[in-house]
Amino acid sequence: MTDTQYGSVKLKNANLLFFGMAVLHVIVDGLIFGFNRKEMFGIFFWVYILLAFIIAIFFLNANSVGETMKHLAFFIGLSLVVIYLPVWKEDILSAFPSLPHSTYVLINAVFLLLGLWPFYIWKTNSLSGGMMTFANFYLIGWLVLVIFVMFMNSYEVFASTAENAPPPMDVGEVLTFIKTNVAKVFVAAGKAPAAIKTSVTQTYNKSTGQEYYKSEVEQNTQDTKIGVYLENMKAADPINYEDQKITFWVTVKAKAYNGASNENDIIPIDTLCTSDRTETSAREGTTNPTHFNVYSYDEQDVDCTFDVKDDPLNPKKAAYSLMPGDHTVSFAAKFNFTTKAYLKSYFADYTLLRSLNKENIDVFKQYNLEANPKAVYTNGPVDIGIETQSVIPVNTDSAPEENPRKNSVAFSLKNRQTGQLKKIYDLKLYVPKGITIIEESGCSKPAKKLAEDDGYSNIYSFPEIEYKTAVSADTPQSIMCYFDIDSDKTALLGNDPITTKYFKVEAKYVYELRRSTAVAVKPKMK
Amino acid sequence: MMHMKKIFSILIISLFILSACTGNKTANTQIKEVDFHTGTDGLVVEFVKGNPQDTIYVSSGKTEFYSAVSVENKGAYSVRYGYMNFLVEKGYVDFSSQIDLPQRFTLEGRSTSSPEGGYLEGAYYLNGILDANSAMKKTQVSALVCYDYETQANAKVCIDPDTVGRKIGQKICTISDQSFSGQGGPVVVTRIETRMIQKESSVIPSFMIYISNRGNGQVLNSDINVIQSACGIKSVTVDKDEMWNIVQVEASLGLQKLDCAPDSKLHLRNKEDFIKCELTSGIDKEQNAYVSPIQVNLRYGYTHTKSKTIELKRV
Repeated sequence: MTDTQYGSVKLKNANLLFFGMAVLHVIVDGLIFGFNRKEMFGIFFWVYILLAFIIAIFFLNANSVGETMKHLAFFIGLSLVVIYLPVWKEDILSAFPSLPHSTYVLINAVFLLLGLWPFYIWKTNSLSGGMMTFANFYLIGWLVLVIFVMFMNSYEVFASTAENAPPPMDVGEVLTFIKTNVAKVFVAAGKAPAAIKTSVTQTYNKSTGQEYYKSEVEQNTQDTKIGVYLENMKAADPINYEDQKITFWVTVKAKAYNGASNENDIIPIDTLCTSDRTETSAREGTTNPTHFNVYSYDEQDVDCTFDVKDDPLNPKKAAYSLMPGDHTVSFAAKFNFTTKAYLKSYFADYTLLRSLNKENIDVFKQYNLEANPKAVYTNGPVDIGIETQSVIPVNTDSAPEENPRKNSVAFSLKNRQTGQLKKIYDLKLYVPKGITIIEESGCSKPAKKLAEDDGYSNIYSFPEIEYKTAVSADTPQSIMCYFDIDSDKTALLGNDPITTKYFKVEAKYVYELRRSTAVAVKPKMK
Repeated sequence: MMHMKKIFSILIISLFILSACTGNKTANTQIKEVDFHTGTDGLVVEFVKGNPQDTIYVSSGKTEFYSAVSVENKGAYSVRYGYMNFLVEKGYVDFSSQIDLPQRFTLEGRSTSSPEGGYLEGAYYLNGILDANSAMKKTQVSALVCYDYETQANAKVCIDPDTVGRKIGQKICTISDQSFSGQGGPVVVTRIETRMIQKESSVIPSFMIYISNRGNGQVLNSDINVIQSACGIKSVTVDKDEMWNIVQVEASLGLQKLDCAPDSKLHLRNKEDFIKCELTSGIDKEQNAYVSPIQVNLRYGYTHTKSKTIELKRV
């Protein structure tokens, strides 16, 4: 007889059989008798004791009494946990009477699936042929029992005897729940690590002013994207020598907002190029043109030339264009750009919203409104996201609210291209007229109200964010502001039951795009 | 002379035949009475096709475009207090001129004098505005309509005081529940259940009247202030808790008014509910079964929104 983790094979079989019978006992108890502990507990407890005695007969033939008792104690303990689970379930659930219905269904589903546990253990423990046959019969028995009870549909499974406990479920409901939710559980489990990471990142970002708010790019009718792009960078000659002028070409494609009717929308582009083999041998090339403006759409070939000239750091060396060897030549286009974003939000009388809610009327359906609108930003290298409540309640009563709501708007800037956001030199938040940003302490960065307005909005600037270079692809720059609703509600609501207003953000910044290419420079020909 | 007599006789016979034919024709052209108390429509609001267009091309500044709304009364009640308000996303769409559609209107319901129901059309001009560096923007223009309305349901019910079948002989009718589909308004009487409640010396006919909102909008209190407030026509303070889903119910059995409990104001839950109306004066227990007309009048306000999404595109 071979020894195993549980002693002899015979002992192991007996242990597993005992455990399985205990679980089966619980399942039968639940499915047929609904865990009726008030009337049936005594009977089931004695059945369990009897079962233990029968199984103990197997142990009498085991190797040693001590080993037998040790493992018997372990499995009796485990089995008692199983048999008492329904009792604990009732006690725990009755302590939380307000749990949603789905929670109870979930717990009942877990109990139903518990019946598969012994089968799993038997299957994974390489049992003897007889025990395997028993395991298969057990599985069939479990299935038949579940299906039988489901189709009878009059039986209540896992009935709870606690006074405040929820109504019992029928097996059909529990099985439907399992069917529809098991896949979701697996999918959710698969996504859990990413979700946890996102949650932790968001919490961190929120605390550090680097939260990212959702948005989508504005749909443009033209194929060409608005912004600046560098393409087709290559050396003019395939073979380059240190004593010859070396030239590179790059195509700069740029598209300003339609027609750039506004002078601010013209894209001024500065070009520069460098070779950066080593610090000592780094050289700045000459670009042509060094500057040009894009009014609508432009495709400009720019050349970058490294002329043959002396090296002040190495006066003994003869004049050269680039030192012999491999170089990385970078071309940069630096330009000013403006990105605007807007977020639709709705303002409605607080009492109207309350009455709609009370009557279970969906405010979005009632007024044909887009539910939970997302911020939209104009195309370009920076993504601006904005978030606020989708429906902002307005107290139209003359008396002030006892607990006035704190409304907020938050926005973030995020680099969405491979270039560098060098600096933001003008950042404005437009809020609908009728609301006021709390200037001094209301924003995560100090805000200043501007005298200008566009007829629909109050405009705030953020002087302290100007000339900062902190915005990268991974670390969005975010600002959150609290706002007050003015006592005069006419600007926001007028007489209308609900109005649509826009929060807008305008960012003007300097952006730099780079493109590099490798070039091998040969020594001068002798 | 004999020949003339023959001709005259033929003419007389022909006239008889012709008049007989005409007489038959007259008998076949009876005026057919149309029941207008059918369907679940009240006012139907639509944007006139192509107005506004799906895409508005905006040049610099503002671009004016035309928008028109039609309102049809497809129900059986004539609207006395109809209000319309236009909701636009100000900043992207503005009104460029005064709206010539009257904000308050009346509109005749379907009847023999107006089988198609009343119709009105209003046009207004809007301005489309795009942000300076925006290529395209979707925006929505909405017409919010609020109005008073009534539904009148007529049926015949069996009143049989002998609920236990003591009387011998055939009864003229038996008590049964009745179901209905629509009575020419968005709020509908869907079912009437008849019960006879035995009292000491009389029988109380009792009716469970089931009412449902089958239209696309929301039921409002029939109070004019509430209807105006719902459409934002003027700033009036109304009890918002008594604003939605309130239907005033009046019922009569023959010429006798029924008492509806707990009061005649029914608050619909999830768009439907029922009310119990009784003839509290009761009827004699010994009276034979008879058929009586029952009329249920529902008075309410109604509101719904019609919207159109348009694209503002840079030229």
